[in-house]
Amino acid sequence: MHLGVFTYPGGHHIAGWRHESVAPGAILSYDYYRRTAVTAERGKFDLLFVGDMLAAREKDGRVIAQGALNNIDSISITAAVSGATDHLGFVATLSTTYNEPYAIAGRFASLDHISGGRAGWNIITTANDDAALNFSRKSHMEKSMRYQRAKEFVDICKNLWDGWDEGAVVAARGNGVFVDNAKVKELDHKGQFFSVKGALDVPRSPQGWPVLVQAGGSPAGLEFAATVAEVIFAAQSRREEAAKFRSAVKARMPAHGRDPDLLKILPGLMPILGSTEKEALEKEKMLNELLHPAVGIWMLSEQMDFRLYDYPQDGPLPTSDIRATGKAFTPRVVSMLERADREGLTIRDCAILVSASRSHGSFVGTPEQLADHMQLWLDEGACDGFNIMPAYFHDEFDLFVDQAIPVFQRRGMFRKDYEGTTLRANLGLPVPGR
Amino acid sequence: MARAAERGSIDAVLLGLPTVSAALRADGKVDGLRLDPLPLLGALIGATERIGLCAYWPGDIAEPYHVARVFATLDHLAGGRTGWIAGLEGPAELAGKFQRLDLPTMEADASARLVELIDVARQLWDSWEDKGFVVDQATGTFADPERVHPIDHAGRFFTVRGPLNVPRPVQGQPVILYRDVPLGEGVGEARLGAAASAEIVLATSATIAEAKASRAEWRALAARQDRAADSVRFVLRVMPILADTEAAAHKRAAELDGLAGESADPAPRFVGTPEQFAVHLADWHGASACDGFDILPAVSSLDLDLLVDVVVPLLRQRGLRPAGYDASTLRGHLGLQRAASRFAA
Repeated sequence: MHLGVFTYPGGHHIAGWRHESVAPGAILSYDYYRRTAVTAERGKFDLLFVGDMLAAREKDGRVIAQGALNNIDSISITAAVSGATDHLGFVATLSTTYNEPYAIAGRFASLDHISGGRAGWNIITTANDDAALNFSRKSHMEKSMRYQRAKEFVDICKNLWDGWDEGAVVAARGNGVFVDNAKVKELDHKGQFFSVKGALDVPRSPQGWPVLVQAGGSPAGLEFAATVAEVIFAAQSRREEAAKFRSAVKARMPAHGRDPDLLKILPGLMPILGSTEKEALEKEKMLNELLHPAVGIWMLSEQMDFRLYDYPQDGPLPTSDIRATGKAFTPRVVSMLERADREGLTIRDCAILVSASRSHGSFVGTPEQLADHMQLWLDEGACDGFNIMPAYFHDEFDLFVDQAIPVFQRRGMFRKDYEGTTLRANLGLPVPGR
Repeated sequence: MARAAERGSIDAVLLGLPTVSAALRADGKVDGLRLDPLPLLGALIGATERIGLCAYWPGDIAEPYHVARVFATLDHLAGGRTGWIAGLEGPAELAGKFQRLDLPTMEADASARLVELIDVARQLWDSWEDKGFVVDQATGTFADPERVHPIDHAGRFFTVRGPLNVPRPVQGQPVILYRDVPLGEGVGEARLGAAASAEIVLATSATIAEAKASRAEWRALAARQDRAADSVRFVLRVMPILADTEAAAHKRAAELDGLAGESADPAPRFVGTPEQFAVHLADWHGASACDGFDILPAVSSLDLDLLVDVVVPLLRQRGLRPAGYDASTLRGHLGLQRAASRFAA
């Protein structure tokens, strides 16, 4: 089993920052992120994950008063805490829609050097339409086009990372040759989206390439994942859906010449732990009581891409009205619509579900029960591990590391020591050949 | 190196500025490696406590939302110790690596784009007033929508709605450093534009007379932008090659030149003893040729240690450097004001 921890300002429960143990004024400080990284390394986690967002959380041009911040810049956070740890990997999220491949290839090569081979890149195409308005564009790029751009973007990066051959850095004092230029290949790429001619200023990094991560699971994303992803941060909250998704992606890999074992799928999971089930349920109830109704309806409307503000909150989620818009729904939305129909959920119920774990999986119970739950997912082929999304930092994550990790280790589900000092070594992924 | 500099209570470390040209790197004889200075700055945050950390992010292709978001993040993580070194690489350096049809091809246009880029980044830092970040657990109010503002910028090069999704940086705005490189055509206009925001100008000058004239020009440009002359600090690059005796220093310089094959100094060099270097710095400063120095140790370990352990104490004796850090932010070290958000009532 592989484990990531997804850091977040305050916590993943949208009201997590209100928990009495959280010092909300400190959620942007170095110490806040350092503490999470050090705790994760104490728990032998594979990686620390940081998301990315390129627009403020807002409604009709005003920020949401009750909504916590999304992640601040992922490269800055991961670079900063890399020095406080020795084994923990770092996955930073950057968009291929709003960046340029030459710059991003250099940035991740640098992060991999600085961290001694512990970098991973969560490749996203940015789903948020508002980002376009912050980047001098009239509208967000259409989804299939975004994935075409992502494919070309990543191909260029791989070629740039592969541009420095073995032995290119000579650094020979005697004849004064620092770089053997014959061993640095210039890329000459001309494609649909980019023209890139040149070589990186950064030599090949310890891992060759950062670990390539992908999030989501739309049909376009699925094909992309089968082509490039070595880790998927998956969004399925139900075991059956997750198992279906996992076998679907893995089944597509051989057609791209890839070994399905070299893909690790980690669904998001928000655990709320207690020493008894009752205690855990009370904690969940208390967190949901901290949830401001306005932020719940806003999050649900954003996720559904459908304005729910004028519907009665205690009425059923208007699934037929939402479906009637004919929009291309994300798997998370499809999953929510099906669940609302199946269980007869109200708008308020759905708002709580979305806000609590942002529609990822959640679990409430004791560490032993959590271990049973996770083992079942692993046994049923639903995943290769989990990306843990603590409801709030730091107490709830400390609890996970101090109470749940020892249970996993006792049961032989999880490592007692790191396999190596690079992220690839700990994930069991090979260094790509040139 | 950052820790050594901090030992000498140096104001800031400057990361990522090119020290050799692409043409010179091409023969493989010089160290042409350039780590991306942004993750490098991030990594130095935890390794240091007080020293300022500045990184070069050329404006040729940069997007203001990225620049503002990354530096706001770094400034929060570093507790207010960051600065952005803005400047232009120029079309020749970037040719091929980034081919975007929307980028200016004329130098004058590239300079105008940089001026607008800096302006938009500063607007984005201001988009959160200090009091916009409320985080009141009792009422559940995270942000005050009355104090977080869209910027609705629509300029010649950028259209940016905002607000930023990072609260106002610790310093209000990270310090703006400007790499002054004569780009030929349109340089006068470029300098005037940069004088609207530059707080530190990084320049090169061969003589005191030339430096005095440049410094006076920048101060006059700042005044034309309705800023106090003192709000722009003129900083000169110098590369010291130091040794215990003058003869030994010249011998070191000759040896280095022999190893290099050809001379390719990134800055005017100074060859001599640490005592002579301290006098040199004091003389230039005393003649109003500059407000400070960007020191490039010729050999990182040797010359940096001599700077920190010998030159800095001599400058302290002359009252030119403080005994230690008095402040916790880079603005504090530099004596630069923390500006209020332009949106604050």
